[in-house]
Amino acid sequence: MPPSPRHIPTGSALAAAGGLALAASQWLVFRHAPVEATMGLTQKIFYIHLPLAWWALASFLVVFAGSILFLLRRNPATDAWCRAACEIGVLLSGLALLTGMLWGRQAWGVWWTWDPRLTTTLVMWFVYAGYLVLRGLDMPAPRKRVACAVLGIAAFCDVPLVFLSARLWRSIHPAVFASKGGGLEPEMKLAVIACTLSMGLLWAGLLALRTGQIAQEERIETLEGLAGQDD
Amino acid sequence: MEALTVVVLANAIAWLGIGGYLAFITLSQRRLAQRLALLESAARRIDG
Repeated sequence: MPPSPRHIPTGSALAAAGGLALAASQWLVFRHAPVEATMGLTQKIFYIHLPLAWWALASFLVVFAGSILFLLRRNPATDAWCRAACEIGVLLSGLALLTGMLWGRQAWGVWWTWDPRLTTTLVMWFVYAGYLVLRGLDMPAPRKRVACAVLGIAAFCDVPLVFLSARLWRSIHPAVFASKGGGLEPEMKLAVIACTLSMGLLWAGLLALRTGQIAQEERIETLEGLAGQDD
Repeated sequence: MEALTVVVLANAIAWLGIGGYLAFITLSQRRLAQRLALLESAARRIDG
């Protein structure tokens, strides 16, 4: 879908609905889902940590798919989706790392350990942060778009590793849905699903909002360029 | 740290992060509106 400033009101409405749904799903987390026997109350971090991590990976999947599409069709609209998705992905994966560190301190007694899941996630965060730095460089827009698309495809190599690291290598990070049934109580599963869907709504809203804004910014830049030529 | 403090802190970090991004979007939108207003006033001057 080509981004346009008209996405801004849709994105705002979606983001507001997602934010409200996420706030409401806290009732399920703290009232409905039981306190886990081993971890106790600390396990509740999982209900915010998991949606943050999953939607960060979804953002990077958008960057990957959008970058391939951009290289095939050279449509700047696709590039706007990639830019917005990468910003949101870096934000959400950063927040997932921070909430994970809090969990780690309580569960493992350390803020950080060079575990495969944690290491691949940190590498992913740095690579996509680099993508945003590339976005900020002063270079011709068409060249920058191609460079970002190439990086957007190459960077995605780390994403399946992040997802599979806890299953492939000896990792102390729990692989939530690795075993059949996931080992979660039905009430816990309901809370996880509610939080993940609410975060998804918020994610879709932020993505539409930011993409619409980038489209608006590009139109204004074109107008400023034209006005500059007239002067 | 107490478990409850950690859970509250984790939630606060997540909400502050998302709130911060929304604030960034709001500020960017305000800046875009200013740039657009400047362009409009320049266009009006040229038309006038």
